Amino acid sequence: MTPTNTPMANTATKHSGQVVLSIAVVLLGTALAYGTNQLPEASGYAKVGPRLMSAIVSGGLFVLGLLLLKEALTGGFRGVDEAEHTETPTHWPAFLWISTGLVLNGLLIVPVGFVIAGTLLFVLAARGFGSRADVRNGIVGLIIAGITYAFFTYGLGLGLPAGILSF
Amino acid sequence: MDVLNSLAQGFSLALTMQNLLWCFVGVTLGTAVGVLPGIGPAVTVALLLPVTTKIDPSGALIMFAGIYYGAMYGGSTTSILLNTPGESATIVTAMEGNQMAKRGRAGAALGTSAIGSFVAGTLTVVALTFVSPLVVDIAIQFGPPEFFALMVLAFTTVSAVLGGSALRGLTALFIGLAIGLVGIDSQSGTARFAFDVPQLLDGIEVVTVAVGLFAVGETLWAASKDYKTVETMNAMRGSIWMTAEDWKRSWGPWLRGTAIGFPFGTMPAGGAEIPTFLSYAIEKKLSKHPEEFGHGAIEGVAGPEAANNASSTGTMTTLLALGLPTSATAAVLLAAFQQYGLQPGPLLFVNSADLVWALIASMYIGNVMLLVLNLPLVGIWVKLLKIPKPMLYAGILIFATLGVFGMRQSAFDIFLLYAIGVLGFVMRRYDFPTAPVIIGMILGPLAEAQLRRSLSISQGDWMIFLQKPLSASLLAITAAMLIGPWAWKKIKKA
Repeated sequence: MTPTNTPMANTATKHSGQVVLSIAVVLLGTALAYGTNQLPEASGYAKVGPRLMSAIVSGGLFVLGLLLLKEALTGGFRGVDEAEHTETPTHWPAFLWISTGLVLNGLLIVPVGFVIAGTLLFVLAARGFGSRADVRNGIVGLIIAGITYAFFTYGLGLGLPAGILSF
Repeated sequence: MDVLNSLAQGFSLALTMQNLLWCFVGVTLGTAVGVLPGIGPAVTVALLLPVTTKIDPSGALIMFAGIYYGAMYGGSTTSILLNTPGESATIVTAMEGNQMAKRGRAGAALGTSAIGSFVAGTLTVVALTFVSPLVVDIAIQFGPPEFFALMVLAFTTVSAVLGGSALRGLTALFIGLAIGLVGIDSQSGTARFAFDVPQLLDGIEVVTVAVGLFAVGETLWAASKDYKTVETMNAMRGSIWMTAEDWKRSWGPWLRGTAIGFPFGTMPAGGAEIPTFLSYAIEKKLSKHPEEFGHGAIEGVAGPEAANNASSTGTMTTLLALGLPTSATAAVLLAAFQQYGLQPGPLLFVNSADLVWALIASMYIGNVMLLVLNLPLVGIWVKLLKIPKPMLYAGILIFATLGVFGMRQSAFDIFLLYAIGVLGFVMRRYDFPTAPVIIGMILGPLAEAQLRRSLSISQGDWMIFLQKPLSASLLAITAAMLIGPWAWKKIKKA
């Protein structure tokens, strides 16, 4: 691949993911700059307050995002081999199984409790890795979550939610 | 001898039943997570941060340090027996050790890496014992401008100099700095970057970011991108007790690897990968059997394994004496100190001398424990490699939610964990390094404090950084490293 010979439009579509990511960094910088602007002016004679570092960080991200965008539009991020990723496409169902597991865990951990939410996460994540033995995985997950819960709650006194299993 | 007195005092504290136990737990956990792919020392220490509210500081810090250097021992086992490196610092071992194992010499490879790690670990703890007080003597005279310049240099080396792209490294660093700013500013009481989300007012926890980026991001990656990689396991063949010939060929590389690894670890340009590659190259040059390299030369395992262990102690030296983390794990260790209201750096040696010396003494003890754990007992760890992938990663996720929820008892943090996991996945996909995020997040607020202190002293005059000779030279080095490669390219083109 010789980036110099590739027409601009072609490169842009080939590296569309990189372009989106670069724009996201620019937008993050912009949003943080907006946040910085909301901060009060520094008082006192030193003139240094909470604004200084926020301004450096938001400005930095904005500039870095633009530089990334420039790379993405001119042959792609340097040293990133896109061909390698088209060869092994992302297996989205796996991504989704694990995502579901974590989001459900966030929703259930307080009302239902650590042990059951953890067991469910275990079964769904194992699915993401292609294991369909739900019952066996459920038992293994229950044992792991149960032992961890017992160890950290009774052994170390860490407050984990018991949920519906409280008695 | 002042140092020896302090060390003896440290041993008397480290040798209590309780601290010995914490040390043992630490090195055992360290070996385990070093062996297991998908989870490393940074995640493990981060996951255990909630226990700091329940354990006394010396016990917890002895355990955390044990996890760090223990993982260096364990990582080599995976690299030798599996065709994937257990830790990033064991890539070279994965090449050469794997070749040895394929030729039925797994035992000798495991032996030379365990003993080499012990030699390097012990010699460098001795170095740490004597070097750190000297560094402390110098650093105690540093003012805010010097510390700020030092931190800026560290930021630059970990993000812009190491890794594939300075641009992507710096972007990762700035994302970390931004995360570090979220929440109420401790000096002025103003909320920053919280965008009226109440849960963000208290800031974002280190455990959420470290575990999200490393454990959750890695899990998403392994499931959806890496599913084609088939791991083949080498049989544990050959005696772990090396032959006389093996010893003869190993001791030189051990010592040279130690000498290379330690200084690299202490420098902000550290990281354990570079010294291992350097050691490998040197051993290849010096070897009487260069033709064996790439086909299982014992020197190619002995040298790099000693180097990666030595560099981890070097990193500890900089962390303790200067308060400067030069790796992701060191940054998380720094966060562990902060949980106790302690700040690593020269003042720690003055204000908490007992704790520091107990920690240093525990590293002598931990290395002996690790030698036993990794040599005669290596068979136990090999069994860990047989855990099927679905079980391993699903289990890691349960521990991830445990650590993250345990920190603040907030379900919001679980969602944040997932979001940061997706960020980690995206960063991995586009080859952004993740360690600078952690270092930026943890070191950023400290750098900001030094910056504001400096500017208060100078009444807002930025020239203060150039008027002090040390901070001026540190900043000059930083500028040279940032502009140098770019200018060099332009000159070569012209």
